[in-house]
Amino acid sequence: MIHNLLGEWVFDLVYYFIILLGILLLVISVVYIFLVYKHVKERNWIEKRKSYWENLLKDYEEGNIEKKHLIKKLDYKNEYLRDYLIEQARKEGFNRGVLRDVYIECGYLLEDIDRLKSKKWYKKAQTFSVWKHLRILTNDRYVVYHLLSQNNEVRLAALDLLTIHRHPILKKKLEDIFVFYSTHVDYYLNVKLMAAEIPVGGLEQLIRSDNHRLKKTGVILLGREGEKDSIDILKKFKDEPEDIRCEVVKSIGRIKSIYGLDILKEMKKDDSPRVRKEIAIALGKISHADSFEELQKVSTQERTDDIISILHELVNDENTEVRLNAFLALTNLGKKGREKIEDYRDEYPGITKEALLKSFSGGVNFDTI
Amino acid sequence: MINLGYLILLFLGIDEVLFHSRKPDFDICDREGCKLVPGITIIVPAYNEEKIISESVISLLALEYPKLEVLVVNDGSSDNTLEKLKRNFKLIEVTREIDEKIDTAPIRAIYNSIEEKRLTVLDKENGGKADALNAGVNYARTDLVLAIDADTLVEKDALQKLVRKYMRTDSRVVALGGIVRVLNNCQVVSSEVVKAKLPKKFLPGMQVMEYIRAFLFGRSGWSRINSLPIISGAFGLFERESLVDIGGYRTTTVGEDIDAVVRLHKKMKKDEENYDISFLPDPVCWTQVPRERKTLSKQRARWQRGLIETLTYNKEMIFNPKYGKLGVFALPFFLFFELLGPIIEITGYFMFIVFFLLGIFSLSYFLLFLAVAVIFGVLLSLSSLLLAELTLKRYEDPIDRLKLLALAVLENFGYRQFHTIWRIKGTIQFLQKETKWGEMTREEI
Repeated sequence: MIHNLLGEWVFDLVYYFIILLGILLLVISVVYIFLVYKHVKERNWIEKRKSYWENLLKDYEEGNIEKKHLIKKLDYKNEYLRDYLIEQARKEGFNRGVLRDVYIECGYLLEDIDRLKSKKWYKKAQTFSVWKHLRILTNDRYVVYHLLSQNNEVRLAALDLLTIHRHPILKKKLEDIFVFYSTHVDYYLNVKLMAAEIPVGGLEQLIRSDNHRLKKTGVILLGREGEKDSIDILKKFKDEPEDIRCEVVKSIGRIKSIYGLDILKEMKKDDSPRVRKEIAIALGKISHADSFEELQKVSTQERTDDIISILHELVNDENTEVRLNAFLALTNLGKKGREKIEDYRDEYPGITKEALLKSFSGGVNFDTI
Repeated sequence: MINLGYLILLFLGIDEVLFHSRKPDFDICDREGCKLVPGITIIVPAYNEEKIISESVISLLALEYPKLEVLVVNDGSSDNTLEKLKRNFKLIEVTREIDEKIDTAPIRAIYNSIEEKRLTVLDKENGGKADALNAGVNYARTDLVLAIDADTLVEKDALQKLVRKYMRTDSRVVALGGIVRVLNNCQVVSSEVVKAKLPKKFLPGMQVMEYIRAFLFGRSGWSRINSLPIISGAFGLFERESLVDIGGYRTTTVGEDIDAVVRLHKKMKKDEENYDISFLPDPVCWTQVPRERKTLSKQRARWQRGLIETLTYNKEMIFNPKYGKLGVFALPFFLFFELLGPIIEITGYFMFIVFFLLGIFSLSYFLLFLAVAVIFGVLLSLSSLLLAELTLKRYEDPIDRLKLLALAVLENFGYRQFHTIWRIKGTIQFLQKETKWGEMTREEI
């Protein structure tokens, strides 16, 4: 009945459509089976090859084989060798210099340079990433040019490569980077530029900027462990808006030096509970086991008393979070801290019990939370 | 029409997966820079999870991420969940101030571990999963929160992968989801999946295929056009501030995960934010799927109920161009294909049989149209499988991979029809205004 209604052609159409789908199904199935077969076959072959390459590279590293012989034996035309070298560089399996030498000698660098001519974003980003792992920086002007690329992935890859090389251009372009890049990638920029270890002088254009974002970033980047010179600069920012004051205190905490105590002392009566809470955390970091040794070596009795006196005020703060972090910071001060905690046992029984227990088990590492 | 919709989604999914696989990897930590990464609080809502809670916490604490806090929210369990945690992690009761921006059932106590400072346990009155998550969001002090199920096994580097995306995206990332895989029968050593194996039982095996298809082309496809309406409750990273802004998870739905994501879209569109809600095909977590038909049927009915509730709560967004591609494409797609799809499918089967019996259709016509539906289903499953094979080769055993091929075909005969019936059951439950979650049985990992 429906046949007559719709006509024979509908039936034919559906019929051919099924045949088409069936063929498609068959093709996909065959491709899938082929891929599984190829992968299994390759996996076994690569495993064997990897141990062969590993032995050769070890020999080269130990000076038992010359470079030209190594390259011959490596069978460098093999596409998997490149991946193997990159994988090893990523895992730091061999000396990076050795891997870089082999990579260049095998002609992969020239292939990379060729790849960079492509208009495809991922080819550029992938090449920069490979160079980062192998610590290669050839034609750095080209990479610098891509620091301000229109493609987010490419410019971040270029930044990644330049930061690992601590390229001097970063000092000059810092302002451009932050202005050109979206605020949403600030976390990433800060992490990368922190790793680039830009000297304090190189951060001046950020710190002195009228742009709030740049100033804040400058303050964050000043907070590098052991960078005591930054503390004098950070002091100048204690009257800035709340979020910058918070970053000032956090940076002092990251520097982990007792020389930061004076500024923390000055700021302990800050109007903002957020800032006061960060002061307690920063004191906890300064007093933590990692830096406690330094504290005891360098500091006088007076310095330790300074920490305790600031924490004493914060322990009595009106804000619970400030009080809690002050107590937790005291747990890092060993016997002296415990004695201070004991003083508050009647007033804050719960929190002192927790602080004492944590103190006996090594204190609190504020870096991990 | 349904098949065409899925086909478009498949192409979008392929494009998205390829896009991700082309992105080079980046470290989020570079020496000192690690101290600047955003902190994550992993919220683990736990209701009667005594069998697995300790292993789950141990595995979460072992994740490779520098700034991590694990927050277990004991949602008034009637078993020994809390006692087990107290005993195994040496918990002590502590005083903490909770920023109660979202209303939740009362908190009874807060515990912190003496041995592991990154572990906190909130003990609260029972209020359901969404309520437990809200309590966790209130407590969290980090920029990001990860909502997971207690039985989820997260891969060691999964958080780094999610955060990498969060830190490197040119727009505000408010939520990120990763791929969920089936844990049943996998080899687990020290809370880590060392060898992925296909489940021996038929039903979990079918679900492997289903998960690959749903995640690889479904979610990737929607993610490609920034209209992803679902991030699995088993593994989703959220910007804490955004969750607080939308008032947290809705406690009156069993689909709190989908509802939260849809409301996040709504809020961002309203605020005209340049935002991103994405699915990443790489960070993987593993979860146990139901082995029994009865449990699976309950789960699927609940998922369907959650979907209908979400679409009902947010009905003003459907077909509304104000909400962009989500309002114009994604939500109508879910309305017609996911919500009404099962009803249309069952009606179709029924009508064909009736028409055939009445002589309106000939047997050849009946078989022909049935073949189109089945072959198309197989085609979609096989394409996802091929995509998985080209990108993430999780199953090493070639036999398992060939079995998957067979399952991709077999699931269209019987399993798919059962699945349709379970979803219709969920629709009926919604119409009957059922609000229960239903018991889910957990097994030790």
